[in-house]
Formats: sequence, C-alpha cells, structure tokens
Amino acid sequence: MIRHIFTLMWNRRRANGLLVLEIFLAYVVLFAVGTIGSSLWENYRQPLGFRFDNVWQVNFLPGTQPKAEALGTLQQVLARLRATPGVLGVAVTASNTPFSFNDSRTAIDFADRPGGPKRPINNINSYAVGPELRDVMGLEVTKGRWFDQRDAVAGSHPPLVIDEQMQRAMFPTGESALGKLLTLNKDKQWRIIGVVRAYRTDGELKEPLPAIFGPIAPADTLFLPQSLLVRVAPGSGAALEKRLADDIRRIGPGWTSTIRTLDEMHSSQLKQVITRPLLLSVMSIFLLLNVALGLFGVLWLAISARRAELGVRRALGAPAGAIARLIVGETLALTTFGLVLGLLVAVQFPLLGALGERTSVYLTAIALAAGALYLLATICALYPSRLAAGIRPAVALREE
Amino acid sequence: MQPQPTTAPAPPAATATPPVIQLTGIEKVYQTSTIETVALSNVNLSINRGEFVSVMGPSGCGKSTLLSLMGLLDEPSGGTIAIDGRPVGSYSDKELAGLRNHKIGFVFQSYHLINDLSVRDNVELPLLYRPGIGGSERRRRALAALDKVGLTARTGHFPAQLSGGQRQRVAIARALVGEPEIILADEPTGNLDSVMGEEIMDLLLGLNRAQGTTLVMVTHDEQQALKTGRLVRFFDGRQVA
Amino acid sequence: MLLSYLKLAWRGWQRRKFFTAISLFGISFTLMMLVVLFALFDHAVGARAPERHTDRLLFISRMVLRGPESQSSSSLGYNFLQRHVLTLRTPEAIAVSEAYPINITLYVGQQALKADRRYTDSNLWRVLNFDFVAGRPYTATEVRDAAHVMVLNETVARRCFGTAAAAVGRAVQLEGRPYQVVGVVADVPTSRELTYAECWLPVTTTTADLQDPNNQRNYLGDFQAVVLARQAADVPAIQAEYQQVLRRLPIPDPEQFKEIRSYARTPLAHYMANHSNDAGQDGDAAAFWRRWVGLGLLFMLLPALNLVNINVSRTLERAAEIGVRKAFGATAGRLAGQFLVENVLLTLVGGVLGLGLAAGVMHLLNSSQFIPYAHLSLSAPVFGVGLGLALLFGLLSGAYPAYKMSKLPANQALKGRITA
Repeated sequence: MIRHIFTLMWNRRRANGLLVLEIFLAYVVLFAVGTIGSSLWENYRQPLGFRFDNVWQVNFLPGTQPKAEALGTLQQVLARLRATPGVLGVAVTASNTPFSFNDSRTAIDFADRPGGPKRPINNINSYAVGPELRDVMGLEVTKGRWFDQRDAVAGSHPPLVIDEQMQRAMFPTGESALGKLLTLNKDKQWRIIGVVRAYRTDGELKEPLPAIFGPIAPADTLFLPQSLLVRVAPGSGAALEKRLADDIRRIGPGWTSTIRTLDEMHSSQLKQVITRPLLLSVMSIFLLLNVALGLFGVLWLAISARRAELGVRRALGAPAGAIARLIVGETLALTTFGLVLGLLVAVQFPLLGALGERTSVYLTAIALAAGALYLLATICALYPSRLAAGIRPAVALREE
Repeated sequence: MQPQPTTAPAPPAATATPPVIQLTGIEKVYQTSTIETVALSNVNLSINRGEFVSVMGPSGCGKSTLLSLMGLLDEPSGGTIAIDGRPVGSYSDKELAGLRNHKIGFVFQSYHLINDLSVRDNVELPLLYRPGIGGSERRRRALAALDKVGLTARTGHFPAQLSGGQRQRVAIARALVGEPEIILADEPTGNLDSVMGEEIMDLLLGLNRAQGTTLVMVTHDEQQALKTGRLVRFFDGRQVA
Repeated sequence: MLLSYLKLAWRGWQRRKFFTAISLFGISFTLMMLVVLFALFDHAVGARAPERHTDRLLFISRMVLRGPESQSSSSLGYNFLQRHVLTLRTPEAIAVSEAYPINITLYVGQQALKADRRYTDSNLWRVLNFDFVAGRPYTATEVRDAAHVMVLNETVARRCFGTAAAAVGRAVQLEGRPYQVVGVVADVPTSRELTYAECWLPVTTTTADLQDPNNQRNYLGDFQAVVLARQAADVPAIQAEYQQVLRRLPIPDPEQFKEIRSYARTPLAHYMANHSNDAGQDGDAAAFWRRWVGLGLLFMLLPALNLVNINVSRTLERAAEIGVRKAFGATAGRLAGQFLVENVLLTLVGGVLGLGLAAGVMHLLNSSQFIPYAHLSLSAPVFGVGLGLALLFGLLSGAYPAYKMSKLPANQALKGRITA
C-alpha cells in the first residue's frame, strides 16, 4: 500500500509540484524556528551560576582625577559602602558585569601537557574580580578554592579560577585542571586554584562560554576597576541608592556614578535577546497556519475533483477506512517529498558548520521540524480523508 | 444500517448451487427534499453461475440503479439481495467491501481508470485491497489478466496514452484480476465506436464461453444484447421481460 | 466591462466562502506583517521629529582607524569635533552631542528616576526640530557659562512634576547639583538611535574632561556631530568637504594605523550601515536593499505559493464553467484577465484588512511600550507601501493560475478531467 501511494504521488509530481515546494519551504521555516528554539532551550538548561536578586551594579567615572589618586579614592569608597547599613557585601569587578552587554573575551592556545600539541580555545570570557565576588554573587565552588588571603602574597604564578565549561574545554577527558598552569597574554603563567560552577554574565539564553577569573587584589595599583557589584538587604530601595550615590560623590571629587539593579538589567537584557526569536516565532506560526489552511483547502478541493476515482476504489473493494488511509497516506507521501528537499538544505548546516551553532542543536531541530511537519500534514488531511471515506460509490460513479 | 445478527440464515433448501446474485422484491426510491423518485419497483431477479445476462431499457429506467444494487454499491429501499444465497442486508461496510473485492468485478462505460497509475498498477488495484497478497504475486496476476485481454505489450503505459478500446480492455482486466464470480458491466461499449465496441463484446463473450465467467451487462445495443444468453428488459423501474 | 468583472468576482468569492476566507487570512496577515515591519523602519528613519529634515541632515558619529593588524573604532572626541568638524564651511549649522545616551539618576525630593541623558551644545536645538511642549531650549550663552539647566522629555517631566508645564522652572538633583528645567520636549522614541534621549544637558556642565591637552592626537571619544545642510543638494558637497578635511589630518599612532575612515551619513545611511565598521558613506545601501527586499519577497513567497495552490485547485474545480465559456467564444486572454482581476481585487480587499490589522498591532506595540516611546502609525508612505505590496502579491499569486487556466483546452475543460 505504501508503495502504491508513493507511486501515485510520484506520478502526480507535476501536478503537486507547487504543493511540495510549499511543504519544503514550510520545513525550512520549521527548521529555522527549531534551531533557534532548541538553541535557546539548550542554553537555558545550563546553570547560570549566580544569584542576581538584591544585587546592584554601581558604575562610576572618576572624572578628571588622575589614576593613582583614583585608586586611593576607590579604597575609601569601598570602605564607606561596606560600612553602610543595608549593604551586605561589595565586590569590585571589571565592567563585564552580568547582563551589562559588556564582555571581555580572550583566546588561548592550550596544550594538555607541556610540549604537547596546542589547540585553540576561543571565546573565553575573562573576568577581573575582587575576592568578595563569590559571596556577593553566590558563586558555587565545585573544586579547589576561591581567592583568599593566601593570594595576597605575590607568588611566581598568580592564581586563576576557571569555570566547569573551561575545565571541559581544557580536558575533555575529565582530567582535573586544578594546579595546572595556563599561559595568558603570551608569557605570563597562571596557576589554576579552583573551579566554579559557572558565571554566565551574558545571560541564561546566550550560549555558555568558558570563563576564567583573575583576582583584583586590594593592593593592585595597575588596574582601576570601574564597576562594583553590591549585595543589599532584601527590600532596599531608592533611599539606599541615593545614599550610595551621595557617598561616592562626597568621597570622590568629580566622581559620577550610576546604580542599577541586576533584576532590571536582567529584564532589559532578556527583552533584547528574546525579541528577535519571538518576532520570528510569531511570523513563523502565522506562516505555518497559512500553509496548514492552504494544504487543507487544496486537499479538500482535491477530494471533490477525485470523487469518481475514489468511487471506483470503493467499487473495487476498498473499505471506507482504506480510503481514509489513502488520503492521509498521500498527504504524508507529499510531505515526505517536501521533507527530503528540506533535509537536503537542513543537513548543510551541521555539515558546513555554518552559523557556529552546536551540531546537537541542529539535529534536534531537524528531528523536531520533521515531526512537526508530519503532524501538521496529518491534521490537515484528517477532515478531507473523512470526507473521502464518506463518498457513496453509487452516487460518485453516476455523476459522470 | 441496523445492528443485526451477522449469522446469515441457512441457504433455502439446498437443491443445487444457489444463484450468484438473487434479488427479491427489490424497491429503490430516491428521496430529495421535494420529490420522491421511484427507481426500481418489485424487482425479482436471479443470476446463475455461468450466465451472461443483458439488461436493456430506455434511459432512466433504473438499469444503472439495478447494477449498483447488484454490485453492493447501494442499498435497496426494500427487498433483499443475496450473494451466493446469503442475504447481505446486515453486512457492515467492511464486509460489503470484502464481498465486492472477492466476488464482483466492475466495468464502466467511461472506464474509470486512474490516470496517474500505469496500466499494470491500475489492474493491480483490486488486489491492493485484499490483504496477504505480495507485490510479486499482484504483478503476476495483473500480467495474467492483461494477457487475457490481449494487452501485455502496454503494461507500462498510462491510460491517457491508450485508445478507448484499449482502456476498456484494461478496465476488463482490472475486473478479472481478482477472479470474481461475477462481472457487472455498465454499457461497456457505450463510449466506443462500432468496431471497438465489437471487439470488447467479443472479448466479454469469449470470457463467458471459454472461462465460464458470469456476466451482467447493461446495454442500449439490441444487437449486442441478442448475443448474450438472457435478456432482461426494464421500463420505468419495472422488469417487463 | 469592469463592472461585470466585479460582479463575477463577487460571485466567485460567494461560492466558496471558506476559500475566500483562507485567501483573505493569508493576504491580510502577510501584509500586516510587512506593513508593521515597514512602519518600524519608517519609524526609525522617516522624516519625523526631531529629525524632520532627513534630506538635509548628516551625522558624523563614528571613526574607524585601520591598520594592517589592528583596528580601533569609536564615536568621536569633543576636541576633534571642535577643531575639524565645527569648522566645516558648507553646512548651515553644526551641533555636537554625546553619541550614545547614558543612563543617569535624577532626584526630585525623595523620588529617584532613571533617565537617559545626552550632553549637547545649544546648536542641537537649531539643527534638529524638537517639538517643545513647554518652555524653551537652552541658549548658547547658557552653554558657554555652563549654566545648570536641562531639557526633559514629556514622560520624564510628567513623572517628576505631574505635568509638562509644571516642570518648567523647577529643579532636579543630578550628581549632587540642582539643574533647572527650562524646557520640555515631546518624547523621542528609542528607535531614533542618533537623537533619542530623555534628558538633555549643556555639554559644559559635564565633570568629564573635554579638553584633554595631552590628547590632541586622539580623535576618538564619546561625541558626534549633527550637521544641517542649507539645502538637500548641498549634502554631497558637505560629505566631500569632510572627506577632504580627513585627508589632511595626520594619522594618530602611524605605527599602528594607516588609514582614517569616518563619514558624514544621512540618518538612512547610518541605519543601513548598522554599526558595521566596513560600511561606506551610503551605509552600503545596495546590499541593505538587496537583503531586505530579498527577505521580504521570501517571506511573501510562502503565502503566495499557498494562494497559487488554492487558486490552481479552484481553477480546476471551475474547469467545466471555463469550458462552457470557451465553447461560447471567450478567449483565453479574457478568461485569464478575468481571473487576474478577481485575484487582484481579492488581494486588495486583503490589503485593506491587513492595513487595519497593522493599525491594531501598532496600537498594541505603542501602548505596550515594547519599544520605549514608540509612536507607530499608518503614515502615508506606510499606507502606500501596504497597498503596493497587496497589488504585487495579487499579481504574484494570480499570474500562474491565470496562465494555467488560459492553457486549459476547451474540450478537456468541459469534461472536467485535468490531470496536471
């Protein structure tokens, strides 16, 4: 029977060409939506690695103050903020704070063992943070330790913390990265002292990237961080915010600061990331609805054009159920033709590695889209198939 | 259809083999919202194995309706239809389809071939609705049926590439392929010129004589009708001869 | 003739209401989407306040320093603009403002309010056409004297003081200093990337260092220039003059960089360049249009194919009618013409529906504030584009079925047996 249906549909390929083309395009749309959707889902499932409720970001500009002075002022500001009631913790950080759209990326040529072959690890998020960050952001240390007093003593190899993604990128086989040396900036070597779960400042919908953390020691005289992350007591509001801003201005002449809650930054970042996929989904749903209605219409019209043929099949001994299955089967055969064309396009993406998306995401999308396409086609064919099964052969055959 | 016990009553007084088709007191009324048309009224007719029966009558006398009823494509308004002595009134759609598939073959005036299937695929069609017959077996039987109608050279062609007479031969092969007990032909030569009509008529007569196929044929052609074993005439829904 | 076409079309639609509904659904929603997209585009670059003279406005907002191995790009330094852009001779007026709005906190009493600010000079109020709801812009004297005055947008003014009029003359605390509100302007939507802000301040009141004497050679910074031409025809001359200025400039850090690239772009060109460092003076308009018109057509392709499929099916369904018409002497061309008219009429009806839907969606977008301060509307160009697209859609989806119909042989059509 399946062969019969495919023969029939193959012989009707010219008549059904446009329909197949439409199904093909529908598949491509489904594939695109599936790719974006499963990519976002895949990203969302990964741990974010930190808590952002009741955390504020304070950005400041030291105005015309020279850097050396500004570093001193910063220490005063930090002391003042930490002493403020309602402030639970303050961490200095470079400007790549969570949901800020700022990032600092680096790439490393990494060798598993000294002298071994090097392979690149790209797009590593690099963070310069104060040791207080763990408590302020609730980072989870899964191996080794976080920065502490021991790191204040300058050793031969400055300490470095990495996240689990970075651990996997360095040692896919599972060997621990603890204690290993990592060469950054051409010559300087850093010792890995700990691994944290994650710190995905790009947000939960962005692809998780490997991360490395270098410490900003209080005695640092080279780097002036311009962002603070402040954990505040739950329920803190505008009063505390004003107080912090006033304090900073009072201590640093010419300093200006901007305070935002991570909650609010998270919403605006989420909005920005989700807008395009959302728009695309709405458009695609509409397109697919359109295709479904059209397919339904064409199938319905086809039934009335084929009454005689279906009547003959009944006369030759086809039960009503067989006619219904024929119509659904034909639709699925057409869908398969369109799907094959669509698959030819879809497999190019994982094969060529285009757009830099993960292969697993593409494969999920290919399968999801195929399933959705068959489901769509089946739903469209159900009513016409019942209509066809209800044809009375005596009437249909007399019409001509 | 009312649910009734499916066990058929025992055949009436087993004399010899029962008639292939037996119509008893058949009434057929078409009802539309405004008018009621009587198509058949009190028709009693038996078709015995090996017979070739022609049905004649003017247009609208009910002969096509009769054929639809005999072919189990339609239900009578009254009376019973028995196939091989078993009344079919209580049969389900599936059982009726099975009977049509196994016992009855159809030939239509306008052939009713499926344009998008090759000759061979068209002929195979009835076997497709018969479970348990594999592809190669279907093919073998289709070729055998085509051989009987003399069309083995055209198995890969499509209906549009054939003449009217050839198309009707394909239709006859399709009716034969399931080895039915009876073939119902509705004006099989109606769309053909006289030469081709003659060919088809000879083919049907040959099948009847050589293989003993039971045939019921509706026709307008007196000459053809006279060649068959029995002639039944209809007028205004009633059997007149 | 046309009347009979119309009557036939009406009857055709009536006969199969479901299919008319499907067709209308497809057409109207497709056009709705395209119209909304175009409205968003128009909202970002069309001629509306404050960029009312889009044909005379140019923005110098970015500079790229290129070398064989490195590249540095940013908005421009205040100093650079003062020395090399404000000195251009062809334009009617030139204003300087911060290139990107910066989020700040305003305090009114105990109330804190976030707002996006831009530091500007006083020329901005001349070069751009802000709609003042209350008060006035700040003057050149106020800017020169670093007076602590500000202009707010209507929403922020209302949030601070209840009404726009009430805001004028009142004080707002910013960075520990009181600023006096001198004017309130109508909201500028965020999609106006180059001019959007909620709060405008005299550039001289900034605590940042504008005239860093050590950095004469550093052309990059946080500012942009807004240039107003005397007339639209002067635009190329201004662009040429700016390029000439750039050619005479010494390259900063010549070890690293070999080339300075910066353009005076129209708002449209800026939009099309989409922050790409490689885009040319026209924002690579050709590529932009190719991409978007291509995508638009692709987007229309699926609904159009859908309509074609339904139309073809319906043509075959009506084969008998067509056969009779042919038998009685209707020419193939006439039949095809009738069909095309029927289809175009249907798409036009769908187009009108689509515009209605688009108006609804825009209203929804406006009221949801999904794009802050958006004020999308069915302007004349949007309306025209919508109807134009409907017409294109009608021709696109009607041509093939009409062609097939005209090819239908009369005898086959009469029998109603068409296979392909």
